[in-house]
Amino acid sequence: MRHLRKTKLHSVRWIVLALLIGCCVNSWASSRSQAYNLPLPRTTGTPEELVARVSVGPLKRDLRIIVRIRNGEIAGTISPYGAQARQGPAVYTIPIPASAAQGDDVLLLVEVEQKGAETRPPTAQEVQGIKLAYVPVTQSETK
Amino acid sequence: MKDQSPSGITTTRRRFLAMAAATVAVSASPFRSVLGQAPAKYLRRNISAPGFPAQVLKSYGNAISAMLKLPPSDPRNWYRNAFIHTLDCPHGNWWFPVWHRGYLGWFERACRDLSADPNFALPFWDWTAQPRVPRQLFQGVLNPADPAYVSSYNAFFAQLSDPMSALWKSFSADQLKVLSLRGYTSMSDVWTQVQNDPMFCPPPPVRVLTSAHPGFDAPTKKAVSLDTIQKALAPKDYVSFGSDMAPFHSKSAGFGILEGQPHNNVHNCVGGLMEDMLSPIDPIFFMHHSNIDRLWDVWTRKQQKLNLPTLPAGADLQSWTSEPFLFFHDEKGNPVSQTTAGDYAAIGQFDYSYQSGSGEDVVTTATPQPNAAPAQSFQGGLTSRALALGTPAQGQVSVPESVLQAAAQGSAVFARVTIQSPPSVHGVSFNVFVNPPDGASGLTPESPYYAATIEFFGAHHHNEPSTFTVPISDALKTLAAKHMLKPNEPLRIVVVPETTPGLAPRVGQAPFASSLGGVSVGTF
Repeated sequence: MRHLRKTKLHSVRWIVLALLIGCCVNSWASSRSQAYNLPLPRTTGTPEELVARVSVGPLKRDLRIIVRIRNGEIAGTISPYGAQARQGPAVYTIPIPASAAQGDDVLLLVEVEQKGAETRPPTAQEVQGIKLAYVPVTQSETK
Repeated sequence: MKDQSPSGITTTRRRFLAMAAATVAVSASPFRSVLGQAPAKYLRRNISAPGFPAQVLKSYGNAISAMLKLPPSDPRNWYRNAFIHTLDCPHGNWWFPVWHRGYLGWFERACRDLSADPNFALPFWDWTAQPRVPRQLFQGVLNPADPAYVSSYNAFFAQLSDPMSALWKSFSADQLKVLSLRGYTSMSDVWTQVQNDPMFCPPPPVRVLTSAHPGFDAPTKKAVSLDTIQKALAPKDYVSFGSDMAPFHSKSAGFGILEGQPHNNVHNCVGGLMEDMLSPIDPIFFMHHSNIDRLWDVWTRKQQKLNLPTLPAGADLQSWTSEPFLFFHDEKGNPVSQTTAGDYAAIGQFDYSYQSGSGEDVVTTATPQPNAAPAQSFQGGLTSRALALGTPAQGQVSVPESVLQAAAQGSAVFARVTIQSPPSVHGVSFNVFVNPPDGASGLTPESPYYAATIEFFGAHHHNEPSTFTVPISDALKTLAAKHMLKPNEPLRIVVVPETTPGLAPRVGQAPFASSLGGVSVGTF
C-alpha cells in the first residue's frame, strides 16, 4: 500500500513537471510566433487537399516565414526568391496536413526567421492575411 | 489579322491557331512512352543515381568553360546567358514552368554544341532523395568559386557593361515593351538592380552551402520532402499546379506549392548567387531547374493517365499559350522563332526524357475517380455586367444534362467567375448564387441557391480582372433534390456584392463599382 502511494505520488510529480514544461514551451512559442486560428471553409469533398493561402507584403532579404501546425511540425516555408518577389505583394500556397484540423478549425503558428536576429512573430505588413482553401486533387492507390 | 496578347505583343491569328492546335494535340494525346513510340533521343539523368556516367559532368564542364571564354558580345557567353533570366524569367505566375523549360532546352543545345558531345543532356538534381549539394558541384568550373569565373562586381560590370548596352539598343519594340512591364526602361535600370540587390556576389560566398556543410536546413528539407512533392503534384488543374494566373509573365501574383516550396527554398538555401535573378551563373541552377521540369513532366504524365487536362483549360488556354517569350537564342546565338509559351508546352523539339526520380510514383499509383467524366468547360454569356451594392450581375451557361446529373451524384462542378476588381477592395464580398428566382432580393448564404462567397485578398495595385474558381456542386445537388433544375435551361450564375459584416466598404476614395467579366462552368 505504501509502495502504491509512493508510485502515485511519483506519477503526480511527473504530470506536474510535464504541465510546467508544456506551459513554458507554449509561452516560448507564443513569443516567437503568431497564432492564426482559421475556420475550415466547409466540409471537405473528395478528393481535395487543404491548403493555406498566405498573403505577404514586402519582405526583407534573408528573411523567411515558417508556417507550423499545432504540434510544431513545419507545414511550409515562404522564402521569396529574387528582388521582385521580395517586393510583394504575393500569395503563397502552403500544404496543410489533414491532421492539422481540430473540429472546424486549423491552428497555424507563423514565425519569421532572419539571419542574425531572433525568431519573432510576423508584422501585419509581412503577413497580411491567411485563408484556408481546398484544391481539387487526383487520387492515388496509396491515399 | 492580328491578335493582341495580354502583354500587348502582337501575334498573327494564323500563328495563334497553329500554336493552339499544337497545344491541344499535346494536351490530348499521351506521351510517346504511353503510346509505345520511339524513346526520346536524349536522357536527362539523376546526378546521384548509381551508374551516373562521368562523361555527363565532363561535357557540362567543357561547355561551361567554353561559354566562360566566349567574348561577352557573344549571346552564348556564360554571363550573357544568365542575363536572359534576369531580363525575362517569370516567377509567381503560371508561366513559371514553361518559360524555364524553354530556357533550359536552348541552353542544353548550346552545351551540346560547345562541348562537342552530341549526346549531352542536362543532369537533374533530385533534392528529395539527396537534400544536399552534390559533391561533384564543388569541383572545377561546376563550382562558381573556381578562378575561371569573374571575381568581383567591378570586373563583372567592366566586362558586361558595353555588350549589354549594345544588346539593349538592338531590342525590338516588342522586347522593350516586355522589359517595361518588368520595370526596366533602360539598361541602367537593370544594372541598378543588379548592384543594389545585389544579384552578383563576388566570391566568397558564391554559395552559403559548402563542401563541408552541404546539407539543407530543416525548413528546406521539409520543402523538398516527398510529402510536399506529392502535394505539389496532386492538383487536378494546371493553374493549381503551376502557380497563379497573371496578366503578363513579369508579374508576380501567387506561388503554387512546386514553385513556392522546393523551388524557392532550394534557391535560397544554396544561397549566394542562387538567391537572385543572376542565379544561372551558378551551374547548379540548371540541375535544380531540370528537376523542376522533371516534376512538371511527372505531373503531365499523371494527368494524361487520368485523361485530365495538362494545360490551362477553356478560354484560359489562349492567354497562356500566346504569352511572348522573346529573349531565347539557339546554340549558334541566333534568336529563335519559337517565341510564345505555347511553343514550349511540350518537350517537343528538345526531344529529351527523364530518368525516374522522386515523385514518379504519382504516375504509377494514380487512379481514376470512380465514374469520373473527362474534364469539360462550358463558356457562358453575360446578361448583365454592372456590379454595385444592390446591383447584382449575372451570366448564363448552357451545360449538358450529364453534368447536372454528375453533380447530383457528387461529382465536382465549378463555376469560374471573372470580376473586374477596383483597386484596394475592402469591406465588400461577392456572393455567388445558382438559378435564384428572377428579381429575388435579400438572398443570403442560407438560401438553397447559394454556392460560394468571393473576397479579394491582399493588396491590389492594378485595376485588373481576377478569375475565381468556386464549387457549385452542393448548390446543384440541393437544387436537383428540390426539382429546381431544368435540363434544357441554361444555368444562371448570379453575383451579388454585399458589405462584409463588420467592415465598412472602402474602395480608394470612390464609391464601390465593379463589373462581371465572364462566367463559365466546368468539371475538373
